[in-house]
Amino acid sequence: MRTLHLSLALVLIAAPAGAARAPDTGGTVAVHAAEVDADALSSALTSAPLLEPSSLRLGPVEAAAWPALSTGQRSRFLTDLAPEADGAVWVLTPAPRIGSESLSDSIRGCLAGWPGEALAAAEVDVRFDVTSSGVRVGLTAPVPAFPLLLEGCPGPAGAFAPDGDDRWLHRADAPGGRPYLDGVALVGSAARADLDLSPVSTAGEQLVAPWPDVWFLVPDEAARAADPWTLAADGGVARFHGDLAADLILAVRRGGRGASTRVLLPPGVAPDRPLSPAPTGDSPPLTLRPLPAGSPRLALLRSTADELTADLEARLALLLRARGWGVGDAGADTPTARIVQWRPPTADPGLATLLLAAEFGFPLTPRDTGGLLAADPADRASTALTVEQRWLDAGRAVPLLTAARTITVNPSLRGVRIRGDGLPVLDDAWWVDP
Amino acid sequence: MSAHRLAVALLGLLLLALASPAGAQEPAGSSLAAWLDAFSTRLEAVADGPRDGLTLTLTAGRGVDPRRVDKVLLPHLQRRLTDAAVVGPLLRDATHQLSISVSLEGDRVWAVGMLSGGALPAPVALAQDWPVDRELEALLGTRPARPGQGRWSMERLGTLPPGVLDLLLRDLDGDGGDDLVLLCVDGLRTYLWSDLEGRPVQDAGPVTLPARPWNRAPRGWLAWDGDAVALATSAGHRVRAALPLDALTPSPSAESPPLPLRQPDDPSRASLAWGRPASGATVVVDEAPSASGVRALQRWPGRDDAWLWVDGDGLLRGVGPAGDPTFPVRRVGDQLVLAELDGRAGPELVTTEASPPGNPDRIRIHSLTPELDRLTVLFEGALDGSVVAMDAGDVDFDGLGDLLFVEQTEGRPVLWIVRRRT
Repeated sequence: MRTLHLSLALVLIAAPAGAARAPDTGGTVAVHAAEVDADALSSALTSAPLLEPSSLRLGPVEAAAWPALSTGQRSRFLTDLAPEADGAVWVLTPAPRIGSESLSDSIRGCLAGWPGEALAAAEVDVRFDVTSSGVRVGLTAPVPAFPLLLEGCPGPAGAFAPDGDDRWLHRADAPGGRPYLDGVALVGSAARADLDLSPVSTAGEQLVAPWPDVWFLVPDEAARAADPWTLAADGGVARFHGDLAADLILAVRRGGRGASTRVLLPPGVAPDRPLSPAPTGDSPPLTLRPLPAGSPRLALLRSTADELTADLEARLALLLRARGWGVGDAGADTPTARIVQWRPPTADPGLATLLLAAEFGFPLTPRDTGGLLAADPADRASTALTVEQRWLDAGRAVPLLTAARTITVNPSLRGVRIRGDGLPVLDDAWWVDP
Repeated sequence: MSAHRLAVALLGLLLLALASPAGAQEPAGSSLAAWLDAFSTRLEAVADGPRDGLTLTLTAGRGVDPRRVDKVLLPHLQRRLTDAAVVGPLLRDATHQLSISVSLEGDRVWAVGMLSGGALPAPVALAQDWPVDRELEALLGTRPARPGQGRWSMERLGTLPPGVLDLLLRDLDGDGGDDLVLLCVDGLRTYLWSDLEGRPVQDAGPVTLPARPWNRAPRGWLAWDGDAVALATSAGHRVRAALPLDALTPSPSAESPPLPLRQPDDPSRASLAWGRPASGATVVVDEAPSASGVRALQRWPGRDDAWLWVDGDGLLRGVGPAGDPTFPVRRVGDQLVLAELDGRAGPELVTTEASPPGNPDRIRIHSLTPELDRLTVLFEGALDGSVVAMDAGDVDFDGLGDLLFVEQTEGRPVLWIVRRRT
């Protein structure tokens, strides 16, 4: 044993029977985020959540720094969060260092993001009353799940502050204390990065997000009526998934970190539900014949340019061809199906279902929205899974596969966590040797 | 456990038994009964629900043993539905069909049913969750023993407060069995082992830690300092707390200055502050001090010539009477315990998996020769979360060492025990 490890561990002064080392301070982390919005990364570094997301594993720091509210959640910016009028009004009391105006600005800004989209999908309007003691948020309908929406809101301050282009410096006065790291910098090369957000990176330790991304098809009304993949036939869905061979695509593009799926809400967001048995054994080989003139055609569109989606597009085109369809250009008379990659920003199935409806125009009834925003998590899950099944039965969406969202981390960088939206939390990270 | 506490618990059980009606199906506090009742109530409330009969199927989802679903859950659910007589009889071919999937999601168990048929215009989902406790864990059989490991058992003892930093075992009540001192971010607690319940029960605390200007505390350590508990955190606490815990409050005036991580003035030595303030081990190195540091260190109980540690690269290292160990170098996690667990001569080495925080971890118990020339895996237990603290002692009065460890799950931390069957 030489150089890096200890060859003679002796000399004991009141020697302990056991020990573990404390974190070091200092050092900078180089982040490569080719496919991630730099603004989203900056927001993750420079702001802490207004309410601790229940999906984020509760670290000891959060537990210490953010006392629990009456709703059971934790916040370092609020001292109270109380409902009135059955959840149609919520009163937010800021922590001593946080002003009501600052808090109000945070919530207004937040409602421009996914929490606002969820409320809009439920046709709920919001109004604010700012007083010296806090903020009253008035809603046009009771929203018992309003605290869950606030989990998507960034608080007024975070562990780091911008320090020029693509650089962030630690804040000595950060809520919860100065972070261990000195700073964070964005780099253009994965080879120089300590932390790589690319989905295909393999070097270093892999942190896996609490739930995966989902890929599914969104056919338009003409495509739903034509049913080009013969999904409505008896056993059609099982045959479609057998032919799709999603596992092979995932093995090539994501190192096998994913699975074929027949539902929209991924594991980690919604619990397991009963499904018809998957087909066993190998699917019969696809038979391709020349398409006769006048064969029907479908336009396949995709919203992302990554290789996994490209592979899916090629495979879906093959499946169409085997069923007597060709792929055509989008036009007024051509049925269309979009391949979309979707990631719910929240682990709550009710809110995730509202966001699906908002983003893809899936229909909801007033009874649905009431259940999706209910106080009881089991009520929200029941409604979400009922609505999901209805959309699937109506062919509104065709689930394809899920793929894990990962972050690759230098093994000497400790204490990195991953948020539900796949972005890193570096507030409590430290270098083994900065 | 004190005699007084035992007497009270026995009296409580007696009263419970007397209060239960003859032929009651479940004890009043049964988690299984409460969970299935909540699910059944949802089913019974469905408009156009199954009043004329129901075909019921139950399947095992994520993390649940299919055999337990058939043998345990299905009979209990059938009996609950039949006794209430709100839904119709359970038939093989009824107009309504209910297909249920049971799965473990984090620290909760879910039953999700899809009800269809009859006058329902579309399938209706019914979901009901329940926190997993020891009863449900045992009934669902989510930690089946691996082949060849039948001599060891790994059991869930319940959940703990959030933010566990460290734990220590020692007999606190003089009953001969070890009890638990737990350090969390919000303070110090003690738990006494209850032989009646088969798990530790909180006795005192939390005694709140004094506020620090630097309040980030991702690491904390406990150590015995005579009859007192010495604790340190990476937030800078250096505190002693006398026991029993509710008699004293840690005083900030007892704090000592923070210990340095290294002393760079002597290149032949690396002096490491272990976070255990009463110790302060100095480790001598042959050459320049390691740039990688040491993550965890354990001494062979009763000897000063055998040490094992995790180096800065996460590799298991050691030094024995014959010098360097000859077991193959392997990557492990940052938790290390060296303690007698199987009643044979020599301690066992306990390691965790070198997995990132929050990712699935693994507990491994190894046998170890005194010469440190061979490591053999005796037991391996898979977990969903990270191991954040562990210690060994004899909690159940059987004379054999028990390993207690804390798993940080997506919900509250979970306390586990691994022990050798007698």
